[in-house]
Amino acid sequence: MKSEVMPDQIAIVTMDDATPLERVLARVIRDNIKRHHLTLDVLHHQGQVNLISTTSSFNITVSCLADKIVIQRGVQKDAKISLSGDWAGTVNPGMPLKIKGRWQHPRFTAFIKQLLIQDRRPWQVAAQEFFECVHEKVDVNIRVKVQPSNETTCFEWGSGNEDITITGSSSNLQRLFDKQSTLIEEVVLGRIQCHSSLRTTALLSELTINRLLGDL
Amino acid sequence: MNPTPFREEASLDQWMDRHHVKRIRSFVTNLDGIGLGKYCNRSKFLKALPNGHNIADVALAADSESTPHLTFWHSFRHNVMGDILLKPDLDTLVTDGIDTDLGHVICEFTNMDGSAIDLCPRTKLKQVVKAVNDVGFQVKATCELEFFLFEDSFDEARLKQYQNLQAIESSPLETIYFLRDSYRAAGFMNEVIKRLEWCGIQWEAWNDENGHGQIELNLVPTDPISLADNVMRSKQIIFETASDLGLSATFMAHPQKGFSNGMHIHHSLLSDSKPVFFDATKPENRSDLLLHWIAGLVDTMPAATSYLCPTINSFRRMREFAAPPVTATWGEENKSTGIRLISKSPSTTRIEHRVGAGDLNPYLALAAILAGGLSGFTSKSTPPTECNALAWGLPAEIPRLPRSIMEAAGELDRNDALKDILGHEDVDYWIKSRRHDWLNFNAKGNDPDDSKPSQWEYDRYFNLF
Repeated sequence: MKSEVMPDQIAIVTMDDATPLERVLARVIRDNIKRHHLTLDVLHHQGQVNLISTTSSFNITVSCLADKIVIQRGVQKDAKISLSGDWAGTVNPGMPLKIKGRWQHPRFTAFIKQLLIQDRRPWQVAAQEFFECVHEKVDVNIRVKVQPSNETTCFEWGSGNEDITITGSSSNLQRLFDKQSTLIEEVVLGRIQCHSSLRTTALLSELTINRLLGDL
Repeated sequence: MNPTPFREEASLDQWMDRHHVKRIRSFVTNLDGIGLGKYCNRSKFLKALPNGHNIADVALAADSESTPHLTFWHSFRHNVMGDILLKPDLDTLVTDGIDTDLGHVICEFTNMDGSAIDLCPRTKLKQVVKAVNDVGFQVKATCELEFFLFEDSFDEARLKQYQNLQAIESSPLETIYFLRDSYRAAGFMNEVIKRLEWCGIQWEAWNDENGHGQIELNLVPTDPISLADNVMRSKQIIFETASDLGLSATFMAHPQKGFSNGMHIHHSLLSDSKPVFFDATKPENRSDLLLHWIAGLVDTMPAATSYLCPTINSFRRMREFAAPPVTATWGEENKSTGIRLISKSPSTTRIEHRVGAGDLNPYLALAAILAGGLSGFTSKSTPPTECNALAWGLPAEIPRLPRSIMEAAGELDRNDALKDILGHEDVDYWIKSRRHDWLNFNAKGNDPDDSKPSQWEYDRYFNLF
């Protein structure tokens, strides 16, 4: 069992053998606690939420307890609400999901949404944060040009000796830079084009995976 | 028996002439323990010596379904997709025996200038063996190869999605040493033995093992490099024989309900050809070296599990009372502990490491085991108390070995003793390759808690291991 205590003392607990999806959820919750400045007193919203896969037997429960939030596999019979969706083929459940039980527990539902829904920030803001992380964590010497296919403005960063170009729709760029996808997945699916050396592609891809999973 | 190794010869050309060799099959083992190579025309093979022929660098940087590793990096790789070399070890050159003008040679991945690539599994084992040699010891080792044999051909097994295969056995029970089961497999095994002997691979015994259609084959102890070569060649021969006879065989760790495939690894140390684990002047004949060595093996066992149980499927084997060990423990003649010590006579004193799964990479597994022993020797460690009881069903507070590919990778990541010997960059790359498999497994919608192997595991492991 892994427990990470935020500065505001809300511990996010995942199991030792947590799946990628559980780890992504833990990271999303941590990010949202930070973004919304949530402190321990929000945990007067106690209860469990089941995340039900519509395409497999793989389900997750998020339990909001008095001093921590626990993420584990399986379902709880007495969960207040359940969210369902198709997350086969992805490590990120994404949103929106179908919500059951919201009418009986509107405040808890609103709290859960606040915890689990990832904000969609402008892609330039996310890109700036991403490349600051590149600067800090990745051994590359790059000059980047990010060009959205549906906008005229571009984003440039760095002054290194390797020119790299990343293109794609602004919504795909937003997903990529804001921890909702990985570079290699976007490239393989043809949603993002990245022209760089193989090494840089690999290292940037690794960073997107680390950010998605909360491994940084 | 006609091993006809080239190592006895002065001229490669003459050897090829005398054995009518017109083609050579190169054989290299990738990170996942899968045999790769090419069939080369004789003149092409000779022209490429001594450094060997080209192969794409992603051969060493791809997963078990040949998808290149594009989400992590190693310094041997090229910034564009390029080539590396397969450098043949001509001492391993033998004739095929079935395909009459074919020769076989074991290779290592090297850079284009012929320099070593440390990430190459065979190179890695050579480095660790050298480190053991440098402190004055030689290693003798052997493996127990376990595999399942089915009446269905590989094609039929694939069409059946590897479900309800007809095990080659006479009893519907999970019997062991059952001669009627052995007899059903004897025709197949006779052919396997013939081919092993042709290649110069010495064997000691084979028997019916517990699982449905399961067979265990024991090889004669030898030096670690030759042993790992023999394991890889034996697995290929078993595949080829099954294929030729319209059967299927797999070293996949857990393809069906019940018993699983393990690969127990035995080793002992010698100095000037004398066994050094045995010391008649010490209590229970256990030399100080032996105890230090065991201490290192036990201490590094959770981390070494990443190499010994390399796949998602390997961990389906690790259950209490299911035969494999689940704790980092050791004991004399104890088959429930991670280390079984056999120390009653000088000639047979050895360590049996019982954690390994059937799908392990023999080069990397041996390297991890020897590195663990070496770390104990170097630090003069003392082993934990010997386990004289059954090492299953122990109280929950006794730590268990890792139960998943990521737990094992995490243990390895935290173990500097193994990293210092095996190389930090190479260990880090291995860990990332395990995360790659874990992400792949989960991204395909598989339920990690499902008690049955997923189709993803069958498609990926049944034919390859």
